[in-house]
Amino acid sequence: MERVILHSDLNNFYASVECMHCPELRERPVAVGGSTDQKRGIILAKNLRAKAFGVVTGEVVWQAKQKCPDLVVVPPNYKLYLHYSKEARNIYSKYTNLIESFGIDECWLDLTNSVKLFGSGEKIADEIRERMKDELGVTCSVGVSYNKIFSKLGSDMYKPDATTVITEEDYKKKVWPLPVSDLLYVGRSTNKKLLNIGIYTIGDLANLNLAFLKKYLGKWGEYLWLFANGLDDSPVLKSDYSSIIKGIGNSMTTPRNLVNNEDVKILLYVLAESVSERLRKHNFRGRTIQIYIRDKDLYGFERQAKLSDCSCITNVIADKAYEIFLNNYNWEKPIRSLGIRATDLVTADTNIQLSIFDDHKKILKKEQLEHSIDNIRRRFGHYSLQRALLLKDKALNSNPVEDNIIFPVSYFR
Amino acid sequence: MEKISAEVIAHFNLNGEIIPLKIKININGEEKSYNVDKPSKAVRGASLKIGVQGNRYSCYIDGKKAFLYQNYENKWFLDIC
Repeated sequence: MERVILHSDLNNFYASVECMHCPELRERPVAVGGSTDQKRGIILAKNLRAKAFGVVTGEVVWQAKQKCPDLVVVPPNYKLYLHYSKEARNIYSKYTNLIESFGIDECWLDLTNSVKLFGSGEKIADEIRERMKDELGVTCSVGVSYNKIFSKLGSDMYKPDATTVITEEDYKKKVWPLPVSDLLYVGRSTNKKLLNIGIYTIGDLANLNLAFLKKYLGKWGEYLWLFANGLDDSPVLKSDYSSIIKGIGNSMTTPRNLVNNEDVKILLYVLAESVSERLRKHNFRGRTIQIYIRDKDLYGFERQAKLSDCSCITNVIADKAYEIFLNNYNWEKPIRSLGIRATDLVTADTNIQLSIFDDHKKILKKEQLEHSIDNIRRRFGHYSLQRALLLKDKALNSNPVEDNIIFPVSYFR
Repeated sequence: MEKISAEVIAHFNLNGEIIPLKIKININGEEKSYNVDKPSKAVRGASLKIGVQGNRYSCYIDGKKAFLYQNYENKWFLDIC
């Protein structure tokens, strides 16, 4: 039986919510900026008026202000956005129990079994859009199709406040002429690779020989080929916004560029402290440490390594991260942002393999010390207890735990 | 139209529903209280006019049709039609 999948995308989510709450902003170009610091803060979202000036998501606030001097930049209010996200889910849940969040403002809905109750996918999509406007005061674009990939493409096709239907009969007409970079998981580098062999549209990709594509792009080649041909059969997963934790990470864009190992060490300690604190809070230990480095030209990459033993101790995580960093970065360019993530999580009370070479009493002691530090910080604030290393540079030292972090989620789970 | 904040006296019934009974609003420095006449049940709603979203009660205030909104922080606002 043909599935009915909806993808709903709240238009310019952060900016729409801000405009909804401040009628006086509505007639002006508005952007939500990541930080109050004009120099380093970036644009997180913008409304249509700002878009008309060429303001793009991700650029630095001062650049956006050059394009549009009247731009109103408001600070983000994550609590409000999460409330809206929950309210939107409430509306979806009136139609189906199969709702999969993709970020804070996008959801897939599997309506295969709901169409008998509520009418066709298109009808439900229109109903959802109306309710969104009426009950939340924001607009959304909805794509209706028979798989997740095409429904997402549909929701991106017409904005704002529109329903797009892509069927098995007309996908060749509607989807194939689109540039290949519109396809989910065709990022900057894959796009470049595909352009190199003359693949410009999704149709070009779909008509390519699968074996060749697999050889050229690896296993991703196969996925992309399936996506382009509408053969994606991944199910809509029942997932809440707070799903199972697979990794805990923090990243930070620094107030100034990092220029030497010392800077990096400081920041890695700041991040490791927050990561390990959160590990302990959720009663986890991590076995694999990943670091993410982005240089000043916004080129980023990730490297990872395993710990000899799973751990939730700041020192262990920070030292490992520093070691990975030293092995992988040659300081061609200054660094803009860094991140640490602990994955391969195990619950802290599982049995572990002891080694005869390590002093386990010492490890235990360290862990207890860290728990005590957590307690002191909980009572007297984050900055009541500090590492001496972090006092070297006050600008880099901040507390990422208190910043609200919204994780991007993967399509493959 | 400016957002009018309202102080509310309400009745919480056994079903957990909230029924606003009286409101106190401040217009141009002058405090006034009104009865909330014929309040409806709460529905989800948003007002683009005054920029508020939450539980909406339609009612009559001083003989005029109005909406009362309870937002996500439990603050109340009055929207006179």
